[in-house]
Amino acid sequence: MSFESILILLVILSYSFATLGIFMGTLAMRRKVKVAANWFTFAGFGLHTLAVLVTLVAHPFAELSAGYFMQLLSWLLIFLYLAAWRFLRLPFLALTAAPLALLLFVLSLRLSNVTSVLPEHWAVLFFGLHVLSLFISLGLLAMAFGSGLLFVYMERKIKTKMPLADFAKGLPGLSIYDKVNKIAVVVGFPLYTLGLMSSFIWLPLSQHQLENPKVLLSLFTWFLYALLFYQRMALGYQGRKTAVMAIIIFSISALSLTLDFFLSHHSTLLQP
Amino acid sequence: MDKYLILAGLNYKTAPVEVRERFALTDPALKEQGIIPLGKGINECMVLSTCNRVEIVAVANAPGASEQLLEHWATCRNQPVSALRPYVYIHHGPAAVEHLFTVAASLDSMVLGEPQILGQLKDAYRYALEQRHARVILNRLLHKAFSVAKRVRTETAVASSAVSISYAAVELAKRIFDDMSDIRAMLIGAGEMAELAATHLVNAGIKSVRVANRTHERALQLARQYGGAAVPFECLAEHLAEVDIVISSTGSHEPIIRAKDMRNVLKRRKNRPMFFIDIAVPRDIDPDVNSLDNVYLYDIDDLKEVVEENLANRREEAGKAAEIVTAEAAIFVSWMEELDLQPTIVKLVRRAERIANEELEKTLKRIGPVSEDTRLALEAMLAAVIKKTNHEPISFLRRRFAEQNAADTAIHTVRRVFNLDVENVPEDAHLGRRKSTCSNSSCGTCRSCRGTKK
Repeated sequence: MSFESILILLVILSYSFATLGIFMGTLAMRRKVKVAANWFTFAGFGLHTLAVLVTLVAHPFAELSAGYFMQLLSWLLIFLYLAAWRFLRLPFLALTAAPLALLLFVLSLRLSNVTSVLPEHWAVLFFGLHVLSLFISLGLLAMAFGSGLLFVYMERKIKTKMPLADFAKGLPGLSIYDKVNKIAVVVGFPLYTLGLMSSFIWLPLSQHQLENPKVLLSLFTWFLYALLFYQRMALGYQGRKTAVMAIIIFSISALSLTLDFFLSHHSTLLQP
Repeated sequence: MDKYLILAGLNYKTAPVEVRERFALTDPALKEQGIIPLGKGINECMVLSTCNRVEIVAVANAPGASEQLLEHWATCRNQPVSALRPYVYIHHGPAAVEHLFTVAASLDSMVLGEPQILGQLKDAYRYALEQRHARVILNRLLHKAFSVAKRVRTETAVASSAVSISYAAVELAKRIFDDMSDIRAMLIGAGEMAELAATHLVNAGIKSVRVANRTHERALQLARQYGGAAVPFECLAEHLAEVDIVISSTGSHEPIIRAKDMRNVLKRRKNRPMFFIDIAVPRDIDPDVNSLDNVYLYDIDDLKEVVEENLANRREEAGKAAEIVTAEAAIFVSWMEELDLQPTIVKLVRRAERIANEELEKTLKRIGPVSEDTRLALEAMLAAVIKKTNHEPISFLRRRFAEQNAADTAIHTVRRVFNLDVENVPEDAHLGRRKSTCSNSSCGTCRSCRGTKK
């Protein structure tokens, strides 16, 4: 078994234990289990970082596989979660980050043979602007999606005066979920815009592109994201409406991402 | 010498309030005299007297001392013992230990899991220590009771949810606002329950309190109490946009806050969430307010339901807590049974034999194979060392055992010096200790804690 394969196996194991731990710890309200899950997330992140670096050293920017980019998105998700945990004290985001990162990492293995061949002079622009900005905004949207689901559940219980399930009693108050939503909008939307704009620079819009469902979905997502940005920043919306919007936007983004990676994936540039 | 732990008491379940009043042992003049004096077969004693219970815990030479306790108790209150007897329960040995642990863990309280009883028990213990009525057994018993209470609180949810309406309101507020330090509250009216809720909110660390009342002087008085500001009742609507939590308890017959007025308020505060607690009957706040986005309204019935549900949860958790109490009581009883001369000597000798055998094995491993004669000689030498080393402590124990009041202390000292009980005995187990470091942050009973808490 090669070093890379061992790394991949360890990352999957770490994220699997982290996912199991965070759900079991939350449902059974066991703090120690959640702490252990956090350690697995941390260990998985370390190994994941190593895996990403090893691949980057082995392949030039322009020859990275589609699977590598999905791995990078998975890595960014955990990075964002750890940053939110460390600086904003938002440990509950692990509920979204760990399972999504695991899912993306496992799916990335299916795309490891799909190699993207970019013209050399486009590679840095593609990697630096398009991939990073879009992936960070998608990571933030994923966090807003998770906290949005929790917001909708808890808000409904509080509004209807129904008792909370045991697991929810240890979760933070509604305002914290709204805070995550705000970060996802204020930081995520400009990055998403930048990511889309950069893609139009290296892949100019043409009639052919506008017929591509992935491109249309991306534009539609951007429109909804812009609407949410406007609602939050100009109209002062917060709470349930913005939480629901974040859930919808992330769901469409996830669909767009699936089309992107598994059906079209920048079809003009990627060659199986 | 036999030791009997006796617990005699009455509580809200066994005696009505008139009886509890008649036999309460809280009179300061009575306390001056030490309530229950030691001697005549009673070696240690502690009295816990609250509005809901009177409990006398004593360590006596004979189980019959319980009658003596009752007679003294009745005499203290100038009542015949026959008036006391029908309401009293008497527990001996393990049952007494379990009962005291149950009381300390607040499993026997009128409001299950309420925290006050632990403080009252600590006060009673402190008083017994000052009177030098708590010695080896009661010291250990009470410290164990405090640790059992702590274990029950941390390992079960028996005290986790609010069971008063005012506190339930604050707990709900925490589900809406994660960070209370940035929250502004407004008190409309000055009902007792609303004041309690405001007190809980202030204790939870909210930023400020505003008070609006039809009588402005009363508003000023309340605002001073909470370090906040008084607001003219007529200007209520203008201030609503600036507060996050509203507690209302006026005597108004018409709603003072309506849903249609709230739309404008929400617009002004950019849809930031608001929590309304309406404790008034008839209600002060239009129920339709709850249908607005980012507005949450709980009236008195909603809060009662929350409290009922929390109480049911506590009752469920009480089962788990009782298991902890039973297990811990068994540990204490086994310690108490060993607090006698013979078991102590046996443990002392076995401890020395164990150490000697371990060392012999190590030595034999190091020096390699030896003849049977050499081995026997080494064993004989170790046996002699054990005998001679133990001779002094055993003689000391036997001498002290013959003396009244000194036996327990001597046995306890030897057990602690040689660590015969293995587990860690609290450092502050004795009042006379000069430099004690208490590991229990909520103890408040030992000398070091009392010194720092003042």
